[in-house]
This record gives sequence, structure tokens and C-alpha cells, in this order.
Amino acid sequence: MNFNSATLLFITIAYLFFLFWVANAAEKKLIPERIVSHPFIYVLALGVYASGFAYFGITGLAAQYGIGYLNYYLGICAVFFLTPVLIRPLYHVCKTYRLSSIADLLSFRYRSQAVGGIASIIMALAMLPLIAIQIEVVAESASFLFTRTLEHGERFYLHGIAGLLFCILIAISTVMFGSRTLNARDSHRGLIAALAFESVIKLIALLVIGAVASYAIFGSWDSFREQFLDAPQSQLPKQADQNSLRIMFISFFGMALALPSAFQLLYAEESGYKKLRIASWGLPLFLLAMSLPIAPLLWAARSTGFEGGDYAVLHITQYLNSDALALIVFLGGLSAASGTIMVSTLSLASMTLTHLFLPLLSFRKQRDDVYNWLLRARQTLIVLSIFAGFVLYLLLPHQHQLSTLMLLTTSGCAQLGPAIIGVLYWPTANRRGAIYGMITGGSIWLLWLLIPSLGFELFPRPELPMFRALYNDANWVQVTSFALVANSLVFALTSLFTKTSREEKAAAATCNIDDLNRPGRSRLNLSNAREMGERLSEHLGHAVASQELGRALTELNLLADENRPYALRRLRDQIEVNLSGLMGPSIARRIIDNSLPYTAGLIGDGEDITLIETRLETYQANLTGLAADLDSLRRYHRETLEQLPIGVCSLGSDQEILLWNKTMSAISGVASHQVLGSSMLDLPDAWANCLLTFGSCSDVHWSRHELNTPAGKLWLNLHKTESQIQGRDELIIVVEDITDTQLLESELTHQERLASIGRLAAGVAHEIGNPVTGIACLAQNLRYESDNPDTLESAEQIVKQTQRITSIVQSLVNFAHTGSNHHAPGQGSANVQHCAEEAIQLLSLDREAKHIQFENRCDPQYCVQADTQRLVQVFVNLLSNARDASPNGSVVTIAAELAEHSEAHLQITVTDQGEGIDQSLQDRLFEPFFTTKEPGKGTGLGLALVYSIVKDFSGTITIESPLTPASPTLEPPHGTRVWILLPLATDTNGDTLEG
Amino acid sequence: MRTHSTLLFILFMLAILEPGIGNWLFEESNRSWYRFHILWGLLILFIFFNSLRQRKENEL
Repeated sequence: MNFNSATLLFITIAYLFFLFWVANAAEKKLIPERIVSHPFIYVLALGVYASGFAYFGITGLAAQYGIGYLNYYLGICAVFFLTPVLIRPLYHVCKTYRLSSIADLLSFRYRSQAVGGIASIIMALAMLPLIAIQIEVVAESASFLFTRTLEHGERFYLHGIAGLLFCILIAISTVMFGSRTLNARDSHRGLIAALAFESVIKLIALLVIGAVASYAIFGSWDSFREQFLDAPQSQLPKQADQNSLRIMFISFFGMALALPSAFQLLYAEESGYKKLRIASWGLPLFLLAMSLPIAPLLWAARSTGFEGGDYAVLHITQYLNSDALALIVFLGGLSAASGTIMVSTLSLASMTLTHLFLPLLSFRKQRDDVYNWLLRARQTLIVLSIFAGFVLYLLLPHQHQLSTLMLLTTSGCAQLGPAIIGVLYWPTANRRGAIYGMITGGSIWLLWLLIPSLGFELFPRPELPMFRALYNDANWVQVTSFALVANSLVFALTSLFTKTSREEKAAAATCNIDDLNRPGRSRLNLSNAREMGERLSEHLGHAVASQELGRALTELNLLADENRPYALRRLRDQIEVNLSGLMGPSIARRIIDNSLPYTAGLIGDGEDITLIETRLETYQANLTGLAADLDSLRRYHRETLEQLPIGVCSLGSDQEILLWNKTMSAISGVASHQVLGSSMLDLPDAWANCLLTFGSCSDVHWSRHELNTPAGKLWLNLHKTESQIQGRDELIIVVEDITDTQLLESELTHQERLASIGRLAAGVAHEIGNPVTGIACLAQNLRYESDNPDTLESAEQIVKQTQRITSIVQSLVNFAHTGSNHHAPGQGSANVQHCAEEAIQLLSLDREAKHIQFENRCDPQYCVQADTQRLVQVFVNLLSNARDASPNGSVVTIAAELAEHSEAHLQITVTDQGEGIDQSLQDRLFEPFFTTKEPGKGTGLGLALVYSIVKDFSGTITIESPLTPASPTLEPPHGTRVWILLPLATDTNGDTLEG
Repeated sequence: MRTHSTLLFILFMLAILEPGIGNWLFEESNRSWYRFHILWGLLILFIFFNSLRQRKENEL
């Protein structure tokens, strides 16, 4: 039974609808993520290489070239076998710079809009035969299912209608789920899933038809061997045909590299290295499975009287007269053709839009609706591409072979081969070479292969003596060879004899394998990212500029007010890359150059060290051999520099900070990631002034430079030197933090001064003591020698003053003696309660003192390791100070208890109810001659003496002032408490002594 | 430039085995059909195991 037209239309629509559902389900994650993102799904999607030709036309190639038909598969496999040297480096470049088509890549590498335009024209022309093939195979198989009895004329009209319907349906499908988003970065998960599904369908269909045909026609293994394997191979290539095979292999290899559909899947989608690695053997395996049934199918068809080559599959189906098999064949063909046509037109539309149409337009007119406009333009181009293929299909002569059309495409794609190889392996290749080479090769292909295939011959093909060996080969072999040789020669010679610009060399360095880009450090006339957005909006419109700026800031994790020169350069690059994915590299570069130009060229010959470092950090795993050794060496030196105990920073001539090591971060308190790439003026003021002044002055050393920072005063030694590397106008500054040393020296000086005072005091005491004693004696004698009350009063005053002098002198002597450390701890034990009591007694003798109540709360059982007299002296001083500080009628308390944290120590406190001591004065209280009392009332030696004695007893003394009141809301803080911690006295067994 | 020893090895082997393999492949029968596919399959296996080895080395 034959299928009627309605059924066929229904099957086609149902299939495309199901395909759409698969794509939609994958995008909405209705299909589990682990399945959709599995590497095998990606490999199956790459099966788009096996188009409708691999289903219906490959048998024609086998019929014509025998086993040489395998070149179709082997050319593609060779590209994937060479993944590490071909696909992976191209993937790296395309991913880094968002290049989504072969024209993008060539335009980026050769820094020329013209290169991209010419590549786009060649690819657009070369892809038309491939699209025409897909339309034809679907139309042919649909016609076959509809009726197998129509005459040729009738079938032509049927083909036309079937082809037109297919074009309409596939155009709708492609626009619906292939071009809904504009951004090249968006992953087409749905498209990948749909393509993988189609690959499964076509593979199963081909294997089923191959197995059924072999079984049905040959019957048994013996028959298969007899009729197929051992049969003389009539199509075995002759010696002359070897040329065809070689050229065929080269052409298919070139096609696999340049085919826009494959380029889209390989480099524009988020595949990742892991998937590419699996594809390097996975896709060849898929193609092996696709190729396996081809020869048996052809021979099976031949066995049943089939004399042609193309559509052997349909002939077998007709022979077996099975509707189920016919349906499988149709679905397999539909899968192969629809997948290829969708991806091809998608990529072709992007390429032609970017490189042929956008350069002619001005973006200012579109303003805020650029995204929508681009999307519509792309969808229009998709439809146009499909119908251009349909027109070509109608124009083709009736008696043509699918293999002829396929070879037209491969030969055209191969014309981009030399320029692509130059991208990776020839740094001095230039745009002139690429343009002239592609024009030469493309013109030869167009004039003597594509146009003649449509039945027109504009110029007779020249027969060159050097191609004499090919005279017996097919026309396509001769033209392809001639075009490739001419293309390569013109490309090579022009590149050799013309100048390669600096810009092209930089792009070549980016594209070369293992050669990391060495970006220059140029100056931008911008103060911050916002200004960048304003400049962009002049060329892109406000909405697009804001969106692109925001996207780039997010991707780089920067803030909107970013102002570091390094960050602004990265931002500029990122916006260019993002625009490149949207409009192609040439237009993106033009927009960026116009809106965000560098004020000058490179700053010296200096590379952007910060960027190089960042890239090397992420690229390390990919370096091998000498490059890896050099990188190890770089890391070693970098680590040494980072870990140096002195600060090192490097400054560019534009004041950009290029180096800021860890010690520099520690000294300045500014982390390196905050300042690297920023201007020195962005440093904290103190540091900016210091480094700027030092950098600009003629001194090469600054010693003991005092720097006041918010964190405190710093003393620094600074040294500087200019970079000795040629072309690098940089200043290296070494900063040594000597703050600790400076403080230590001050402390030592202070100690020395104290020691001098001690020695002076001892001498003065000794010298003053004798005359004072004499004066005192004389004054006392005077009291017995005169009855004059005034004289007696004066004598009394003299005696009192001499006693005061004696007291001061005695304090000085004691202070001097305590500094000599004669009193070792543990020399004896002192009862704290008794000592306190004695001190209180002594103080109470002073009748002129304030009326203060002393309260002794010390437990009599506690004894400390101390000399009793010296402990009494400590208490007298402390209680005396407390009395002086307290108001009349208040209480001064002395208490003792075991220390909380150590039972081997006693904690003694002396607490008064005075006003407290100012916080700023507390640090100086134990300094000699420091007093807060009125002149004449204090020597300033009391607390210094106490400190020395307590230290001698291996104790500590601290002051708490003012005290926190019991109810802070009712009364203000007041009072002072002196804390003394002394070791408890022990007996010979180490037990604590009790009083 | 990185040295891709595996690819160089394959190219080297193909170059020195070409005369022998060529005769075996293009024998006057259709047996070249499966012989080509066997050679092709072996190449895929080689690439597969090499890829496996590289992945393990990278993991280490």
C-alpha cells in the first residue's frame, strides 16, 4: 500500500512536532540533566555531520569510487583524531573570544572585516548545494512513499511540491527552536537534545535497513561471502582514481573543519574539553556504525537489478515491498536532512548577518531595540537560506548525482582550509594573504565547478601542464586541486611578501597553540566604569550599553564604580568579547575602538603583567616541556618575591601598581588584590603621598622615614630602583618596616635614662645627706640658744624642711637600691595583714593629713614572698596616694584574697573613692618623677618605687580607674583600684605558709 | 609547542605500514570493505585508550 499525501504530511509534521517537544523538554529540564548534558548526547548531536547525503547519497559515491566512499567519513574522523592539535586550540580561542562561526574566527585572527565577509560569501555559496541535497532527499523519499509509479515529469512536480512543503515546515521549526535567543553564549540544550535524537533515529534506521537488506537479499553468511565479499570489486579505484581519493579526503577534511553547522556545535556550544575528548573517538565510532551498512546495501541493491548509485536504500525498500520499512527509511532520511538543514541555516544566518549585513548598517538608528532587530534579521536570513537552497534544488539539472552536489560543498568549504591552518600554525600569515588566497580559490571553485554544475559554462577551464596527471580524473578533482593549490600559493606568497601588522601578530599569538597572548598595557582615558557606559551609549544606545556594561561587570565580578586601570582594561576587553558574540569580532572591535579608545599605544613595551599572571595561573595544567619548566621557574621566583620579609612594590610610569607583595600588604594593611592594577593615587592618603614623593624625588634611599597612618605611626626605610628590563619604564620600591626596632631603641634609651637617674640619685643622696644633717643639727641647736619666738619658729621650720629633704633623699636612695635588684624574691615572708596595719599606723601619725578612714580587710593568714619593710613601704606609698586622691571622710580599703586563676598568688587591692585617673595618664604612672599632684607635694618617685619593689618580688601591679559603680545609671564612674599580684610564701616542702 | 606523541606515533605507524596495509586493504575483492572498518575500529580503540590514559594522568 502507498501512503497518501495527507498521511505523509501528518507524519512529517508529527515528527517535527515531536522533535520540538524533545527540544523543549530538554530546555525546561523535563528530561533529566544528567541525560541532556551527558557527553554521549553531545557526540550524537555531532552526528549532524552525517546529513541526508550519508543516508541516500553515499551509495552513489560508493558506486562511483568503490571503497573510496569511506573518505567521506575518514576526512571527518581525521579532524576528530587530531582533536588535541586542531579542535582543542580552536575551541580555546573561540570560547575565549566568543567566536561562533568560521568567519568570526578568520575575521578575528586576520583583524579584517573583509576576511570575514569573503569567508561568509564562500560558505554561503558552498552550503547551498548541501541544503539542496537535504531538500531533495526528503522530496524524493516522500514522493517514493506517495507513489512508486509516476512518470519522470509527474514526479518532478511532486518533488517540487514536497520540497516546498518541507522547506516551509523546516523553516518554521528552525525559527521556533533554533533562534529564539540571540546570545551566542546561551546554550542550545534543546537543539543539542533534538539533534542527538535525530542521530539515533537515522543510525537505527540505517542499521535496520542494512541488516534487513543483507538478510533478505543474501540469505546466509555463505551467500553474503560469495556474492559480496569475494565478488570482484568492479568499482575498485584504479591508479588514476587514487588522485580522486586523495583530493576527496582533503576536501572532506577541509569541510569537516569549516562546515558552519559543525563549527556551531563544536565551538559555539558549551561543550567543554571533556566532551571534546570523548567526541574524538565517539564521533568516529558513530560514523563507523553509519558507514558499515553502506557497501552491503549497495551490493544488495545491485543484486536486485539496481544500476544507479543514489537512493539504493529506496530501491531496496521498493524491492522488499514493506510499508514499515519504507516508513523507517523515510523517518531516517527526514531526521538526517532536517537536523543538517536546521543547524546549517542557523549558523549560516548568524555568519551572513554578522559579516555581510551588519557592516552595512548603523546601530544608531536601531538604538534600544538592537537585540530584537538582530533576532528578527537572523530569523529572516534562516528562512532565506532555506529557500535559496530550494531554488538551487529547482535549478539543478534533472540528471545529477547527490555525490556531485556534496563534492561541490566540500570543495567550496576546503577553500577556507589554508586560512584556517594559518590561524593555528602560521603567525606571520596576514590578512592580505588570506583575502587574496580565498578570492583566488573561491573564484576558481565558483567559475569552473559551481556555475558549470548548474548547466552554465562562462569560461573554459584552462588545462595547466602541472595538472596533466589529473586529466583523466573527474572535473571536480581537477578544479578542486587547482583551486586549493592556487589558494595556498597566493596565501603563502602574499603573506611572505607583505607586512603583517602588529595587531595581526597579537591575534596570531592568541590563536597559536600553547602561545599565551601577551597583552599590552595601554592607557584608557576613563575614570570609572560608569563613564565607560556613557561612552558606549553614544554608539549602542543607552539600553544596550547599560545591559552590556552590566553583563560584563557581572562576569568579571566588578562593581559599577570600578576605577582601577587594570580592571577597566579587562572590562573593555570583556565588553568587546560579548559584543563579538552578538555582532561578530570586526564590528565589536570597531564599536569598542570608537567608543573606548586607548589614549596612546602601549605604555612602553610593557605587557600587562597582572593579566599574564592571572592567565598563567589557570593555564598551568596545560603547559608541558620547556613551557612547564619556565612556568615552574616563574612560580618559584614569584613565591620568593611574595614571601620576602620586606615589602616590594612595582609601579608603572602611569602610576599603576604592578606588584604588591605579601609583606607590603602586611605593612600597609592593603591587600594585594585590592591594589594590583589600580593607580597609586587610590592607595590610602598616607601611603600614596609617601610613595609618590619618594618615587619622584632624586633620593634612592630614605632612612627612618616617619609615616602617620590611621593604624599608628610607622618608621620605614625605603629604597628604590628603576627596572633594568629594556622598554619597561617601571619603578621598583622596597619598603622595610623598622617600627619595632625604633620602638625598641626608644625603650632602651628610656631604660638607660632611668638607670642614669638611679645612679645619679644614689650619688646625690650621699652628697646631700651630710650637709642636710649638719643643717638639721644647727637648727636644733638654735632652739636651745635663743628664746626669740620668731627664731624658734624659724628653727622649727628648718628642721621640718631638712626632714623633708632627708625623706626625698631616702626615697632616691631606695629607688636606686631597688634598681640594683639586691632583694631576691623568696628571701623571706611577709604577713600582708600586719604590713598593711603597720602602714596604716604610720600614715595616721601625720596629723595634717586629710581625715580619711583606712579599712584593712586583709586576712591575717596570708603571707607573701617579700621583705616586710619593703612591703610596708609599698603599702605606705599606695595608701598615701589613695588618701591624697580621696575626699575628706571617705574610706580607703586594702584587701587581699587568693588570685582567681592561680592559688599560688595573692591578689592585694588598694581602693580609693577619688575621682579616678585620666586614661591618657595611666600609662605613665609608674615612670619616675611623674606626678599628678601639685608642685611641692609629690616627688613622682613613689609609684616608680612601688613598681620596682613589686617587680623584685616577682609580682605584677596594674591600675584600674575609674571603677565601674554598682549602679552605673545612678552614679558616674569614679575611684581607683591598684591590683598587686604577689606569690604566696611557701615552706621548704613547698606548702603555703600561713600567718 | 606541545608534543603530541600519540598522534605522531599513529602517523609514523601509518607511514611505515602503508605499503603492506595498502596491498591488504585494496585486494581485488570486496573484503577491503570490512578490512577498512577493522583498521578504522582499531584506530578508534587506540584513541579511546589513549584518551583514558590521559584522563587518568590528569586526575593524578
